[in-house]
Amino acid sequence: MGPSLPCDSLEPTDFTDEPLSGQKIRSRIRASQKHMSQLSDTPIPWWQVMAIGRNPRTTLVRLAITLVLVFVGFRMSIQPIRVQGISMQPTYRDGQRRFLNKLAYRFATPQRGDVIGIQEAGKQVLLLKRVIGLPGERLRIVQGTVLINGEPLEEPYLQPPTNGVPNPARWNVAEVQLQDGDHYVIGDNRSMRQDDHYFGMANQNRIVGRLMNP
Amino acid sequence: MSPLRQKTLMGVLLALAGWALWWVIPSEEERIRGVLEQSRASVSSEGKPADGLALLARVGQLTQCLTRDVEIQVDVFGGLSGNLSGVDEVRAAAAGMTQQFPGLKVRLSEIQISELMPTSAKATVVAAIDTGSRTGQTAQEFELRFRKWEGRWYISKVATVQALRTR
Repeated sequence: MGPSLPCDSLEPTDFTDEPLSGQKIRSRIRASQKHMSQLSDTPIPWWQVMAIGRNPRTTLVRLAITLVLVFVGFRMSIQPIRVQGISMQPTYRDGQRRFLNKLAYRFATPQRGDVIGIQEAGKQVLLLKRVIGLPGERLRIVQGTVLINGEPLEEPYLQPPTNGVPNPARWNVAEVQLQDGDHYVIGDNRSMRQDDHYFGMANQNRIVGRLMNP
Repeated sequence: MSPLRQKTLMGVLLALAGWALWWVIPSEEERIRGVLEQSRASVSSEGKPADGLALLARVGQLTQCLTRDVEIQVDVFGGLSGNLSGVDEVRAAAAGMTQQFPGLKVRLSEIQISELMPTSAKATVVAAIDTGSRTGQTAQEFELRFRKWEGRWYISKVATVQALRTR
């Protein structure tokens, strides 16, 4: 019995009497070289495996795909916003940074109490408001109290302001009937003058998403 | 020349001719965008001279984009509001505005043209307006109606788009 050769895993050699062409010879040499390099005893250092993996090219491709997926996913699902103005004070202050979940209403509708982003001018300028009225409801405000279908609405999110003016102040809004897709939205700062506060009905198609970290 | 080469050359020439036609003859949408750009440029001061003649020229350029019975309904919450009817009222208002805000800059974005018919069209556009003062920056969405007359598009109505309704 002759000495064993380290080529057990090589593809079976074609032992035919046919003369081998130059191309076949070259491809066999390449296959043999590749196999020999795989059998090489030199181990890859662990830090190299940790940093770039066993095959740097594959790692790079995986990294690029992951980055693209993360970027696209982020752009599709989250929108960073910067709060501007005082209409949501003291819950949200001017200059605070927050994120909107743009997928929140893909399979659901806004609920009462949600703080939502509404398109004001295009996709970049949004209004940040709280939903207080839902489609189909009758809403009115009497002396600062919100009445939904005639019943007073409890609003635990309204905080007493520090300037002594009651929150809510004595605002009055005539009754409105909310149609399909209409949500009544308003800010949390109702101690300001009613005329200076932008509120009303927002249609579902202008709602961008729900605030992620209320 | 071989028949294959002849056919290839013919294909390339046809593609080039198509591209040239597309380039030379703009689509209706391109024409509408052109009118929007002309009106934007005539309203924006952006450091252009604001003397009498230059002002007249700019206002004249604006009125070339409008129908004679143009209607402008502006109602920006906490800001400008009012209605203008007819090209003369718009001309006077534009002249006053460009004099009042010599550093006025208007930038249009998110232009969407819809309901494009042979002689009418609708567009929504976001206008970023900078009056030149420290706090004078705002963005507002507008809905515009267009009418086509003798092969040219004109703005016939401008109205602000309200994010929230009270009624």
